[in-house]
Amino acid sequence: MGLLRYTTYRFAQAIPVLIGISILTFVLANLTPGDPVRLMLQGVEADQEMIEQIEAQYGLDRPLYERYLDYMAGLVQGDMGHSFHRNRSVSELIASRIGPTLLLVLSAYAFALATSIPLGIIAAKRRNEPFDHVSRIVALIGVSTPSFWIGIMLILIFAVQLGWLPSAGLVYPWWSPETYGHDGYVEHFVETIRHLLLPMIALGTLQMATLMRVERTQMIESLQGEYVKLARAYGVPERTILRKHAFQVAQLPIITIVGLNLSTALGGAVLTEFVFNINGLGRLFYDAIVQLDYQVIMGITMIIATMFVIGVIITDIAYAYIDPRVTYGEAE
Amino acid sequence: MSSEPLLRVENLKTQFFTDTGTVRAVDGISFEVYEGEIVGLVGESGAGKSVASMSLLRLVENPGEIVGGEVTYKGETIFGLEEGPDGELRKRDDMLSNEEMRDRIRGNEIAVIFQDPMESLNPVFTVGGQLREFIELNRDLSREKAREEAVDMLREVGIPDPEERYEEYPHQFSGGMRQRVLIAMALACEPNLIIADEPTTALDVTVEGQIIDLVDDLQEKYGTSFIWVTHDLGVVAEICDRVNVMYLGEIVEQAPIDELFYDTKHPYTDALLDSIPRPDRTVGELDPIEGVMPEAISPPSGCRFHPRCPDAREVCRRVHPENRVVDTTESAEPHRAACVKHDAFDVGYDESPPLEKEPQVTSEPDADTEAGVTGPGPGPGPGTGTGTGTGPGSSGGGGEGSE
Amino acid sequence: MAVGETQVESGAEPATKETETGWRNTLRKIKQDTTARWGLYVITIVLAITAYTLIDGNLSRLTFGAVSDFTMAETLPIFEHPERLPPPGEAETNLPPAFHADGTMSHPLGTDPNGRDYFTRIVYGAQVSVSVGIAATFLGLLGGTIIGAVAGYYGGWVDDVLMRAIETVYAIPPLILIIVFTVFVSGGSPDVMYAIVGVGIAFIPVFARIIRSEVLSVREMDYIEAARAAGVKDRDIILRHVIPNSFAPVLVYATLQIGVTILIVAGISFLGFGAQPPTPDWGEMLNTSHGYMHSNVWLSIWPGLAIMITIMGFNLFGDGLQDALDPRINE
Repeated sequence: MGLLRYTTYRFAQAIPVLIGISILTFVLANLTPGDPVRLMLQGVEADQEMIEQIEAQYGLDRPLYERYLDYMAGLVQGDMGHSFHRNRSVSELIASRIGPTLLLVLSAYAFALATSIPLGIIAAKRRNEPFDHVSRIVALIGVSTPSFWIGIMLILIFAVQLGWLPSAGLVYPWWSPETYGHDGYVEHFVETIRHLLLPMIALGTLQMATLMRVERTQMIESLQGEYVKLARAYGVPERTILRKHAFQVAQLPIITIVGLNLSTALGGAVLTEFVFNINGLGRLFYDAIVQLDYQVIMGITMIIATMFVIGVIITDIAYAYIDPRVTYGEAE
Repeated sequence: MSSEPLLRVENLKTQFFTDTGTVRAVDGISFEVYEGEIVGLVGESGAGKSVASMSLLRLVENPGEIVGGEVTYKGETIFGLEEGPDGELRKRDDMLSNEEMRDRIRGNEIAVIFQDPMESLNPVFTVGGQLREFIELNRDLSREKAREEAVDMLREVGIPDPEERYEEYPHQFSGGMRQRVLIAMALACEPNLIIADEPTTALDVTVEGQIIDLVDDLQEKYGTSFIWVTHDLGVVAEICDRVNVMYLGEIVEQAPIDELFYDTKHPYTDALLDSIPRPDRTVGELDPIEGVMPEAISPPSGCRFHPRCPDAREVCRRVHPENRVVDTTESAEPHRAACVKHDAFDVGYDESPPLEKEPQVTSEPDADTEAGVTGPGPGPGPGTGTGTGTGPGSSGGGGEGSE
Repeated sequence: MAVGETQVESGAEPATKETETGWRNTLRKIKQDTTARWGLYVITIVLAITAYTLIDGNLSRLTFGAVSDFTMAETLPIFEHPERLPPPGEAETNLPPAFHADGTMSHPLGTDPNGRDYFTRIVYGAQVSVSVGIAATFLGLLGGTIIGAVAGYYGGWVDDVLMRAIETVYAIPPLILIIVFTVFVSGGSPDVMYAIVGVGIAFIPVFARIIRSEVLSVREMDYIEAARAAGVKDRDIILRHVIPNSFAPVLVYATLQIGVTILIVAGISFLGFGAQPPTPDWGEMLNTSHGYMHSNVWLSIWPGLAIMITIMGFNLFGDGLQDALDPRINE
């Protein structure tokens, strides 16, 4: 019951932030110096009549706040406006592109968590031993290398040189195998993984490295805790201490970091999708920026920020659920 | 009291190897614990009490290490060294292995109650769960049995509604309640010896009283022996049978409780007693100990207490006294002290001139010159000083360009 | 022996000197810390290169506004002009690096698709990346400090409003926010300058939060109370007392943040929304080389390595700094 109330409370708290984001993106989009319509029409033959018509269509002739209220009214009903360049509704476009991005980000996270936590724990346990040094260097390289460059290097090695893995595009597991001419679900699955592998590593490395460092620090700290001393004094085997007593406490900050890092992961998705030619939200965002398709830009910014906010809320709730010390309702 | 002690500690030495030098946290202490008694280990913070008690379980943390001495528990060797064929000291064959320590000694035989009840319980597990885990592990009980036992134990240590509190988390317990849980943990494993490491320091006075009463009752009921580590002689008076007073890694006085209080033999103990409030004295009579305890990394020469000692004489700076029997008590228990003013140390204390009081804690250059003037005069040669195993004072006169 | 030292540290030093000893301790720890030292070496080298290229005057856009006629590149034969295109037909394009069979020593890292010396461009790239990293971080620091200090000092509704605004900015992933800002504000023709401001804005939240929490604790100090009682103006209290006293942890954070800034700006330039050709910028060079991934692999390797090493320097140094300041992990 407390948890339910806390959940509601956290979502309610997010509403002003989301409104803030909509204002911010709206203002940014309207900061454009010069005539927005002309900018939008770059490279398109247009006469005065057409420009006026577009202005009227987008309500550009009305005052800013009125247009914002209109935009908000639309947002509430799920209408994010219209893409000028693609002549489709923004909501529709986003819906068609959100799948690959989610697949990419989630698999990158899965990769990061599955590698960083065991490595971080072992490094903490073997502090200042060779394993620790090597893993720290790996983590340092991980946090210092741009994800897109890792992507480029992976393509050069595994796609161009070795030819083992494809360098572009994704196979969507939610489409039927026939779409790709795959022979049954096994091949479909294998192909999905093969396509996902490189972009997943490219996007996940930074997350892995960050989480590994946090995990290591937290485990070292936890292993120095009085409760670990107590467990040792009562003859608890070292393995149990590591896996249970120290681990459970060390995980709490990790949960928070996972949520906050969604910010870099979603930003990184734009770069990864660009490098690997994946038709997700990031690629759509890039195209929209190049074309100055600003209803689309606003829509995607809104969606990505919302995804981040929701991600943080989910990890907050998970934290509250796992940490018995959090008293719901008055967190933060 | 039976002749064979439950625990015998002989010349135990534990050192920490830090960047700035070797810290001799425990420097050759010896004491015994007999069945059913409560032995106090008293001293200021930094005296090495906690390190000593963790050494008994071989749980000294890096960069610390037990480097010498012998710890025997019920005839089994917890720690012991012998000279190997190459002349190097090595661990004795009969010393318990790490696994044996873990499976047979820690918890089952010797349990610990830690200082800080707020930090000692794991915040993410239920109180009952933690209690049950240790019982299961140390008494080979099934999960259900261990749970029952845990609930009983919670009741035993005076936690109301133990069934409900079993499911609660540490943060839902007050400090005193948590300390009760820690006591329950120690008792529930049915050990023969419990090391209580400043168990009441973090609690307020009324709770402290309750906890001490509780331990007293339970000790009587279960007959468990205790090593009670504390800096508070008041607590010692209430609960202990015999007391060891520690100063800078050494035991400076060792006596049955009444002897210690009414026939104090060491100036440090005197000073400790003067610094605690007692019902028979007014606050105005309180007399705090001068100065602070030096660090164990560079202990003063001679008697380690001499820079702060009101009775210090010149000889105290040269002669390092090991504690020795200075009196026999009515109960035939020896009263040991490490102070050269007693006749048992024949090093010329009475003839030695008193020391000028220095403002600084450790001896500084001007101490040297002073020693140079007065040193060689009266008193026997420094070499005859007994028990100067570490012998910092053995060069006597002013010539030593110390450190 | 260490006796004297121990005494000085544990001895009766007046309490007022504690912070100073703290700083001195930190410096000593940094000097002892191998990671921090290595970080410092790398940063020094990169900064030295940056300084050289700045003196050289070849940085056309960021500092001097125009390519000067006299350049050191012309006096020092190892460097060619990083931007000027060689006359058509004269230069060899897409040369591999010198250790390659087809490479020449006159172009140690080969040439780019336009025939420009790649080594020169990599070296000059340091200037853009590093100055952008530092400038943008500084902007974020400045904005964050002002907002955080004001919010923390005044509290109440001022705090509420500012913190909601901060949360809003924080909710948009930096890369997205910076690109949107850069593109819209520049009216569709992005450049590094806009990116710097964009990064600055995107980093305001993190700095503001740290400063605010510091200010909240400083605010309760007696000397602030005293200043207020003495009738000192709020603005003066904030500027003279609150900010100086809460600055230390932020400065550490800023060091770490420079690495992050360089990382993000590289990404933005790689997408083509930051530094524009012909500016020699590592991100921009990766953007150009992306099209030559199959024909000239080397073009994609060098700028990435340069970015990695530079950021590693800042991260190493920041780690050392954090270790030195965090007593929990030390021992």
